[in-house]
Amino acid sequence: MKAPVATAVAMAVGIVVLVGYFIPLSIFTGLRMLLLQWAIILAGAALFVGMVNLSQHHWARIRARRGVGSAWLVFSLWATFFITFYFAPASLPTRWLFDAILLPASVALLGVLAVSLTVAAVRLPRRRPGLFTILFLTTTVLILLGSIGIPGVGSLPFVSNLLRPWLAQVPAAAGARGILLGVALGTVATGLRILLGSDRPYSE
Amino acid sequence: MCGKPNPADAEVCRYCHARLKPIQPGDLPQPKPTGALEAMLPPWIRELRAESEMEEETLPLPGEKTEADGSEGAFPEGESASPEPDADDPLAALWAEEEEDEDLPDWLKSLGTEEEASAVAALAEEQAAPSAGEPPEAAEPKGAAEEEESALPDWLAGEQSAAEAEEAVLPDWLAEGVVAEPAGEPAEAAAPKGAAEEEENALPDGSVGAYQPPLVEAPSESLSASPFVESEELAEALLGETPDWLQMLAPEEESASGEKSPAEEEVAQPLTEGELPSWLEALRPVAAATSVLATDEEEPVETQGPLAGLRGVIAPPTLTTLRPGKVGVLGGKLKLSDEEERQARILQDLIAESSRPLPPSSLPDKKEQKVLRWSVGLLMLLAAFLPFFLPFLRAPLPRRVLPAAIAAQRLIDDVPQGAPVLVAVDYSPAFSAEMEAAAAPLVTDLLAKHARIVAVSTQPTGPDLISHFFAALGSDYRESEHYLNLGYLSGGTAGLYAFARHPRLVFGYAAGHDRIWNTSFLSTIHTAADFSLVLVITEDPETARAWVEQVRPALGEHTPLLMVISTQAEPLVEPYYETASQQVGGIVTGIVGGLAYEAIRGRPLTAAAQAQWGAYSNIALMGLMIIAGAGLVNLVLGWRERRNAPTLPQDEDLDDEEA
Repeated sequence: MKAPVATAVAMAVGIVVLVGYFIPLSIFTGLRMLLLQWAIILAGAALFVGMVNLSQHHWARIRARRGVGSAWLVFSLWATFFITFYFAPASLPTRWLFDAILLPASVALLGVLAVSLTVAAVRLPRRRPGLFTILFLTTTVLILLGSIGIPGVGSLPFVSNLLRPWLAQVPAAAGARGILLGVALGTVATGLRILLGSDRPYSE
Repeated sequence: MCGKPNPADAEVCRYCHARLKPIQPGDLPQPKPTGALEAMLPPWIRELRAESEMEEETLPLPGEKTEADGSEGAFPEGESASPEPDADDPLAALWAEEEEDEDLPDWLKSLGTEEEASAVAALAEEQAAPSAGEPPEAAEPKGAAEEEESALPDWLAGEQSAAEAEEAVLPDWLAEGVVAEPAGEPAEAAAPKGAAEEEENALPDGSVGAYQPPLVEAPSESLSASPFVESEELAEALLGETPDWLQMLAPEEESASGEKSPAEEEVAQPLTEGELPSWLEALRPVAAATSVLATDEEEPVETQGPLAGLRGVIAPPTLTTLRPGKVGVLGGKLKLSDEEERQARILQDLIAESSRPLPPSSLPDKKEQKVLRWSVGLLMLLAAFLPFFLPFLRAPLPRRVLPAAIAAQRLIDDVPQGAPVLVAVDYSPAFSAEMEAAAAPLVTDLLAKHARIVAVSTQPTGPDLISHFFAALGSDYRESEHYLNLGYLSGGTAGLYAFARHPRLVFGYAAGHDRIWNTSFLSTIHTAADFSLVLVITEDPETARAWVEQVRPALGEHTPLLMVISTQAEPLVEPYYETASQQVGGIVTGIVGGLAYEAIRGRPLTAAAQAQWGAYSNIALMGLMIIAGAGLVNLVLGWRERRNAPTLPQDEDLDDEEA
């Protein structure tokens, strides 16, 4: 009984929103906006639900005495939540949390990622010596070389003005657009499957 | 038949030539006047006739009835009289012979009967002697035939006697043919053979060319003979009947010595089931032939199918191998030669070798990895900080001309003074350095125009990012005075779609602002198209695509979409600018784009911007050199290791299989 009702609701909502795209009648547009408002609120509430779920998972690890990091995670999570909830998002304590902890940590992780990617690029030819490895490393070197200025030399005219833009806008863009087309087709297919009831991501 | 009147003695209707008097059984054929056809006879028949007439004249038999006697009334009444031999009739000699036979003297007739009796007795002995395995009916037919003959009616008896008389006049060659004819029906020919030969021998030679009755009208005695009696005389008669031309075609060996060749003997011998001829056996494989030949006599013989008759071809299941409810081990011991056993052992060793774990030497060393990671990190830090102490290591500013940055500068210039501008701060905190460096010149220009900037973000950390971004621009720019922070827009693409068309429904209030839609920033805003410019700052290509797909259609023609993106998103976002529709009116890409925008404006770069560019270039250059140098060394080492390593599935192959 539960599954047919959920399927019918999902199909009806999807069809109403889709019809509102193509038929500009006030009844459809109004209904569509109402449903979108619900979706926006539910998406925001989903963050809170996810936070609770994450806390439950790490709370179980804490009770099993298997991780100090889980304790720190749960403490930081709920402390930030209550500080922001109490002092407001634009308050000084909230901004301090962001500027002093979250932002430096994120930037540091990105810096470490740069080091890790460099090490991986160094090890790659030893692990998989082959044509595609050589192609990958050559492309990386050319893109970097065209993006920087060499001390005492400056930008290499041919690499910076011709080769790097060509690599970024022709081969890379072609591959990226191909991926985008595939994503678009997949999105259409997924929408149709949900509208037709053959795919039920909301059911267990 | 026609019904017309005819004379009483007429035999044939003179109108329609239909026969008026029916032919009764036992009527003798009436001679016809055929003298007119005498001239048409071939000369050899006429010579034969002349010779017979000469013999009749030179050797008259006793009691011979001559033409001079003129006694035509020798035939009993009721029978049609024999016609006089007509010189014009070619069959007249036949009738003459019959009359002569009937006119034989008694001593000659008795002689014939004695010979017939002895021949019948001899035939009875022959049939009785080999008939031990035959049914007793084979010896009966003669007596039964005689009884049947005695029981025949008069007209049929007369017909039979006439037939016997006709057979008696057959020539030698024809008499033998009569005996040989029923070769396919040996029973019919076996019984009368002896008597018939003696009778024929007793006949005069002048009977050649006489009338020959059809052979199917054989005496009833022959019909009663057993069909399974084999007679050597019959075979001799058959061989004797072989014409000369056929005898010439016979093999010389056979004709000379009478022995047959082996091949002929094989052909002559009938094949029995399970025995193959020598030529077919020679074609069989040796193993198969030996296995068949070496089979034990106790092994079963196949009784059906294409192997019928072969012995020991299929091993029968024994009771010991059949276990109900269990799958038994079929086949038993495998018979292998030494060479096959050696090869199987090699294969077994290879399989065991491949299942052993690889030596740990090919695995990367953790200590080596840690050293490499620390070395790369230190080199990059060194490259970032050295320019501060060594000015000659500072990277020169880029001089690239970016058309998308020029278009962005034009769009900023087109924004009217004090116009509402929507700024989307949609990047993650980790990219804040690059994004702020790229977007700062544009936002600074907008603030210089006193644009009513409304900031929004689809990132959960967006509100703090907005505050951090404007704080980084300078302490002069305060919230709710120079810009409005709407905060986090949830719902992803759906939230973007709704916000672009009905922003007042999506944002009922903002953090710290109860009546945001009554403020100067949003009082004139009902849809996204009411903004003079929409500036999106993001490092994620998916976020950029969402803004293009969900918001750009609601902006209309008068509200351009401008983007500040990270370098990593350039390949995916650039086509939105490159296309003719120009869904994105201008793009500023990364630090280089921000510097190019500043260069277009002709403003001198700040010390912070120069330091940031120098660190960025030097770190990238260091990474480039590490990747190129160490990567080349590792490429050579990797090739060498792979060449020396045993042929095992590599990681690429494993990945392909997993995929």
